[in-house]
Amino acid sequence: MILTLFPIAVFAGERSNFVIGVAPHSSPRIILQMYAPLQQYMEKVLGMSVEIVTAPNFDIFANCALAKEYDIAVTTGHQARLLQIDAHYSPLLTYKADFKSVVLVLRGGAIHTPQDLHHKDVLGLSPTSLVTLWGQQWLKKNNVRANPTKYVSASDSLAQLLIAGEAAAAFTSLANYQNLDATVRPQLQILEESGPMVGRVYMLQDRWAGEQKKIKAALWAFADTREAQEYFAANKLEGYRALRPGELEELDVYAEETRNLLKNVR
Amino acid sequence: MNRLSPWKTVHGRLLCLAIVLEAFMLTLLITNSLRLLHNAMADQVQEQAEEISPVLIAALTAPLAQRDYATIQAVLDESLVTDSLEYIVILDRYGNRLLADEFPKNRSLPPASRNFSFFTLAKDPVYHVVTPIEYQHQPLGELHFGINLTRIFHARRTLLVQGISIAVIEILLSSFALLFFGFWVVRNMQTLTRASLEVAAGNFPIQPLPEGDDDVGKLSAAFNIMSRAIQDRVKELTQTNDLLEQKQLQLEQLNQSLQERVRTTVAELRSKDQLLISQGRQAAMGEMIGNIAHQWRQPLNTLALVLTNLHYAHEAGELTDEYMAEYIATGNRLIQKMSSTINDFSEFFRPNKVKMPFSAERQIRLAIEMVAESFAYNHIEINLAVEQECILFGFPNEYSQVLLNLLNNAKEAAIGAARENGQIHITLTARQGMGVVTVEDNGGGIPKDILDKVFDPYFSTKPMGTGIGLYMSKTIIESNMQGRIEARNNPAGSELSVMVPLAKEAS
Repeated sequence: MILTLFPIAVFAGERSNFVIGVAPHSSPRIILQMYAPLQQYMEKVLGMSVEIVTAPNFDIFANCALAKEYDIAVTTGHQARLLQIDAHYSPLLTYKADFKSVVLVLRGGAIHTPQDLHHKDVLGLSPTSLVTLWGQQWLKKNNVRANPTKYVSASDSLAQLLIAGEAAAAFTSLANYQNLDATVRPQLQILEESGPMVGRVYMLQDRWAGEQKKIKAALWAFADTREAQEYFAANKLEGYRALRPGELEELDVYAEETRNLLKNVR
Repeated sequence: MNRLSPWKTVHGRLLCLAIVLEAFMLTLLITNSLRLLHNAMADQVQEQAEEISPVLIAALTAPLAQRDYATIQAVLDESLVTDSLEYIVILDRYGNRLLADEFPKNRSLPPASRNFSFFTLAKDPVYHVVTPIEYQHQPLGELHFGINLTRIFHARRTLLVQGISIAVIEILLSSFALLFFGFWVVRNMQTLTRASLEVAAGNFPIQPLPEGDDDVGKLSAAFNIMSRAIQDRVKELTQTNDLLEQKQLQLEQLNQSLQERVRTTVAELRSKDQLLISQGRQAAMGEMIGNIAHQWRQPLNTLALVLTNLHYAHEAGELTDEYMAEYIATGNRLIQKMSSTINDFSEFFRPNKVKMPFSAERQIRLAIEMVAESFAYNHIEINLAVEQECILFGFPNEYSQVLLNLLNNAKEAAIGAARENGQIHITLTARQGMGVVTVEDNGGGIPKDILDKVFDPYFSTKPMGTGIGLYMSKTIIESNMQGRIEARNNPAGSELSVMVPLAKEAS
C-alpha cells in the first residue's frame, strides 16, 4: 500500500538521496541508532537513498537547516518555528510525549536550590538549544548569577562532565536524562523541571511542498510498524501526533533569541 | 701409484658432501627465517590494519554523521603525524573524496592488499586497507589508508644480508675445520692403500702396518690379520695348483694313450669290415658261379652231344655240309644262351644308384630264375603265391639280392634237413603300407636260443658259412630302404619276412 502511495520515480529529483537532519540532542551514534528504523523504512518507501545526518551543535544544525541542506529537519520546537518563519519549512508532526527541560545536578552534591548555583559553572547543549535557552531563562527568573554557560555537544557528554565535577549544573531534556546509561543516571538528580513543551518537530523543506501529504502519510504509516513501536517505546516518545494550532507560535520568544544568537555565530 | 684428485679421496668427498649439506641447510634456514618473518610481518600488518581501522572508524563516525569536516580533517592530520600511515583518504557515502589529503588527486585509489605478497610489496612498501564506514547499517562513507612497510622491509633486508653473511662465514670456517679433520683421520690411508696394492700383486711378505686404538689403527690391525691369512691361503693354493698340474699332465698322457687305443681299435674294425665285405663278395661270387654252373649244365651237355654227333657223323662219312651247318648253328645257339646267362647274372648283381619304384613280383621272379636250376638239381620246389601285386620304392637289384639270400638260406636249410622234397613257399602281399614277402621253408626251423642272433654279423650255423648274408640283408632293408626284416619259426621250418614301403606310401 505504501509503495503504491510513493512510486519510486516520484522523488527522483535533482538529488538521488533524501537527507533527514536530526538536531544534535544526543551524540551522533545515538542519533544514528535511534533513527535507523526510520531511515530504512523511508529508503524502502521513497525508493532512494535516505541519509540520517546531524551536526556538531545546535547552532550549526540550525544554520545547515536554514541553508536547506536537509529535506526533513527533526528539531526542537523553537528551531522548528525559526525554520518555518525564515526558511519556509512546513511542520509535519511531532511526538506525543511532551518535551521538558530539566536542570541536573550531582546526586548528593552541594547544589540543592537555584541559589546554590551562584558563581558556579553551568553546562548547556548549545547556545541556541531549547534546553539551554530555557535554563538561562530559569536562572534569570531565579536571580541566579552563574558563570557564563559552557556548551557541550551531547547530553551524555554533559552528564559525564557533571559527574566529573566540571560543572555544578547542566541543562538538558527530560528524555535525554531518562536515556542516560543506567550507571550514569543514578548519580544525577533533577533540580528543576520545565512545564510541557512541544517536542522535536518534523519539518519538511519547501522543495518537497508538493509531496507533503504523501511524505506525511509515509511517516504516519511508519508509526504503525513494529520497528516504529519499538523505537517509540525505547525512547519514551509514545508515538507521533499532529501539531496543535498555535503550538509552535508559543515558542516565538525562543525562536527570536535563537535568530539573534545565530547572527552572532555567523 | 698415481696421486688421487681431491674429489676422488674419501675425505675430499666427505668435505664436499658436508659443505653441500651445510649450504643446503643454511639456505633452508634463511629461507625459512624469511618465510617466518614474512608471515609475522603479514600478521603484524593485518593486525595493525585491524587495530587502526576501528579506531579511525570510531573517530570518523560521529563527524561524518555530523558533516563535521573540520573534525574529520583533524582526525586525518593527527593520524598522519607518525610515519606508520602513508596516507588516509575518506570518501563520503557517494564515493566523493572529502577534504584535502596527501594522496595524489590524479592517482586512482589502490585496491585493498588482500594477499600479502612478499615480493610485490617490496616494490610498493605500502599495505593498502579499504573499509566501509557504517553505523547501524547506515553507510557513512569509505575509509582508505595505507600502512607504511618501509621499516619492516628494511628489517627483512637486514635479516637477509646478515643471514647470508653468517652462512658464508660458517661454510668457510667449517670447510677449514673439516679439511684439517679429514687429513688427520685418513693420515694412514695411503700406507694402507700401498700395502693393499702389494697384497694384490702377491708381493709377500708384507711389512705390518702400525696399529692403534682409533678406527684407522683398528683397520690397520684388521688389514695385518687379513694379509697374513691371504699369504697362507696363497701358499696353500700354490701347492694345490702344483699338484693339480701334475694330475692334469698324467690325465693328458692317459688321454693320449686312450686315443691311440681307440684309433687302433677303429682301424681293426674297419679292417674286419673290409674283410667282411670282401668275404661277402666272394660268397656272392661263389653263389653266382654255382648258379651259373647249374645254368650251364644242360647247354654244356647238349653241346657235348652235338660234338659227339659230329664226331660219329664224320667217322660214318655222313658229315655233309648241310649236316655240319645245322650242328654249328645248334652249337652257336647254345653258346649264345650261356653268354646270355652270364649277362643276366652280371646285370642282376650290379647295385642301383638311386631309389625308384619297382615291381616286387618281378624282382621275386628274377631271384627265383637265378636259383631255379640249382633248386631243381637239389629237388627243391619253389611255390610263389602273389596275393597282391606291390609296387615298392627302393633299390630293386638289392631287393632281389636279399631275396636271393633268403632263398639260398632256405635251400641250405632244406639240404641240411636232408629232405627229399624240399618245399619253399613265397608269398607276396601288402599290409599296413608295406609290401610283405614271406619265405617259408620246411627245413626244421631255427633253434630258439639263436633266433635273436641270426641277423648278427659273423653269426652262422653252417660249417662253411660266413655269417654275413642275413646281416647284409638286414642292413640293406632297414638302413637303405627303411623297411624291416624278421625271422620266426613255423611248424615246418623257418619263416623270414621282408617288409618294404609301398611306392605310394613312400612318396
